[in-house]
Amino acid sequence: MSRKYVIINADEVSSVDFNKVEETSADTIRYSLDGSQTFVKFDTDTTPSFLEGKTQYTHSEILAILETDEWIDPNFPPE
Amino acid sequence: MPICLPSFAGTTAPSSGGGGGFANQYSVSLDGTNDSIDVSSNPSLDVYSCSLWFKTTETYFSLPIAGFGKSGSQYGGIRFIPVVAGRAVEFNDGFQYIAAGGLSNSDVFDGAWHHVAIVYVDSGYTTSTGTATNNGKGYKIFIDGTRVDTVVSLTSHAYSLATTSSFFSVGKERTDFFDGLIDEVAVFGSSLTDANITTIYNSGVPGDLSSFSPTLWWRMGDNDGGSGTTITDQGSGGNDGTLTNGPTFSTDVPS
Repeated sequence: MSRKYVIINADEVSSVDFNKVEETSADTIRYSLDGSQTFVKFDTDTTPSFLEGKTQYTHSEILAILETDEWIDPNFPPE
Repeated sequence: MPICLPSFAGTTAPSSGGGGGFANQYSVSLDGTNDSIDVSSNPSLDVYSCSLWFKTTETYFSLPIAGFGKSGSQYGGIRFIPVVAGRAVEFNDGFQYIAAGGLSNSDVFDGAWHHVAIVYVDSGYTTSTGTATNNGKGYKIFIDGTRVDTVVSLTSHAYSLATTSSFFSVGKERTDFFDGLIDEVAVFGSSLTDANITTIYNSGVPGDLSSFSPTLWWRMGDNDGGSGTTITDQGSGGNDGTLTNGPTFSTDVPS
């Protein structure tokens, strides 16, 4: 069983059952820089129902996505 | 500040890691996406020295190890910048940085355990190669017991990050997160000496830090049974850490 990551829209956070994902709460999740997207992760073999039908990423795949300018501030740290 | 001698004597036989009878069984694994360990309330923590152990192979754009400071502009931390030559390890105050210009990625992102420490110098600071800052303040950086700070990004900058921190996080700074293992995080309310750091490094084996009077000391699972979501502070400040967003305990420890 490996950890899986799913990107969701910010307006879908209200549908997340935080008992079924690794994220602590809605207050601790990480958003894209424009605030439109976030992601959650889960370790179970069964996909939580509120994430069914969405693309699942591996650890290396989500890291590659999070390295893009949509997720990290290209101006920080200062040069 | 008194020069402290190490106290590695103990009564518990080490099951893995740890020198001289000091047991170290656990570290914490952070996944680099949104994991962190945080002080849950305003700590009012004096970060004059900080010491921790890390292990990673990730050469992500920017890997913060520990972030602290005050909200707003006074925000600093220990950070890796693997993609920028000469900034493999640095202290960054949010505006300018003091870096280990002589280190390459292969020195620190090699999948082995390493020790990093920073020590605030309030006056008369120069890098290990003699570069001064305009206000005499700065941070010494040590990797594996050796001082490595050689670069001051802007000598005219006033490196005056407030050492009294209103927050403290491990593995997170702004939008960046650390991917790897971290163990034995400690903060000290005084500027440790070079000799102190050599003692704490202890040739690569973590030891008992209690004689250095840490104000924060997160054993990363030891003292907490390697389970749960709380890192009980073994320092004097009572600043327990909270595992946020799913960090896991590991039995891979520096030894």
